[in-house]
Amino acid sequence: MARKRLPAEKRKQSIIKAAERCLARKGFYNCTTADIAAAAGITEPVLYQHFRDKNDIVDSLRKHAIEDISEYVTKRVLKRKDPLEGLRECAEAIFDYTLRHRSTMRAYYYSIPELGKGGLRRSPVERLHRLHEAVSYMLEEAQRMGIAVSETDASDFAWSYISLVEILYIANALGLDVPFVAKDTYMDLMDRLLATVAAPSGAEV
Amino acid sequence: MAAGYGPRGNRRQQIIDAAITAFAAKNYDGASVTDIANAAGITKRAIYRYFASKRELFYAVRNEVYSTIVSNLWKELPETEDFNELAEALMRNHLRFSLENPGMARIVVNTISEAATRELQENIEALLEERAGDIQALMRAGKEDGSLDPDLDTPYVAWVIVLMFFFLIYTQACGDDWLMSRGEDAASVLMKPFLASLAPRP
Repeated sequence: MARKRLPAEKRKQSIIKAAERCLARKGFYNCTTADIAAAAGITEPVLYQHFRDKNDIVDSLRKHAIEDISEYVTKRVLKRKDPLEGLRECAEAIFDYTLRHRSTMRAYYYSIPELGKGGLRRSPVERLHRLHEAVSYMLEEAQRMGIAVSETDASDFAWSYISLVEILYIANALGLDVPFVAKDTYMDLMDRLLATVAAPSGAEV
Repeated sequence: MAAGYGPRGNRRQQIIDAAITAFAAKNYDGASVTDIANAAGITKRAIYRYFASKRELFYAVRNEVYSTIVSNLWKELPETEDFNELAEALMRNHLRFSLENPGMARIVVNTISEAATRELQENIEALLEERAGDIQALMRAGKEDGSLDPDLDTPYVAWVIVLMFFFLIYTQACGDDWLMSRGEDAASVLMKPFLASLAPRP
């Protein structure tokens, strides 16, 4: 098979895709740049024209994965006018996305041990904190509209909500199918959690 | 502690202790068997008498860390049958321990990335299944005394709670300084609304 010369951006994308497959299958430590190059159908020297090292690839993979899921989730959440329904939609969108992109999300989590190294460290924390800000904001919005009880501490509730969402990523990374086998059960738990902050119906201002 | 190490029996433990520190500081790739030997004050050859490979040593470390964390979980639980109180106390114990032992927390998080290998995945699943089983037993009691909704899917909820333990460790290992600035209370922040949502529906 003659190797085609791809434009740099396309080549980078194909290396990232190859890295995803490789990481998801072999784990972080067992996946070498040689494996990634082989999976992408190129030689290692070509790989090094585009990336400094494995961590550089993983950094791009992370960025790419986060941009993709954020775009998908945001699009779905924006369809909801009611912020509490938005929170429900957000969890459901994350569920659907993770189920459909199991190896991408697994590869993302597998790079966690390298957190200590340079730029990689902050990115998962920043992601968590951005999610926290978005969730708190939506709840505060619901409180302003009178559809959520005002006594709830929005920031605290957001952490609880996030933990129920993040377990999806963690289960996926651990190779557990448990939460994914029953979407109804998962959404029932999310509904229960959201019901604890919903203002009693009929009490709308 | 070092004085207690005999020539044989405790040598293995001594290697594991040194390996926990090394793996936590430098990760699996970065920590060499030589580093671990130096930290334990023995030769590389001596390590290989107890562990066939670095990988096997890592597995032993992981098992040690998991069982230490688990045995700590069930310590000093409040004298109550109430599921919500017990579950919150378990989560607080867990977080307190991992805040006091960041090296162990790091190793737990590192094992997530090792889950790709089927053998390890099954191993983790078996370890967690036991914990989920313990929580299921508590939940059944809660359903009987009416504090939990009898319609809840017990095995599913038990798994969710086990995974929440992971979430706390993950958040800590990522270097979060927001939720974790609450210390042990972070566990209650997560658990209280979730547990409240498991009550029977009015």
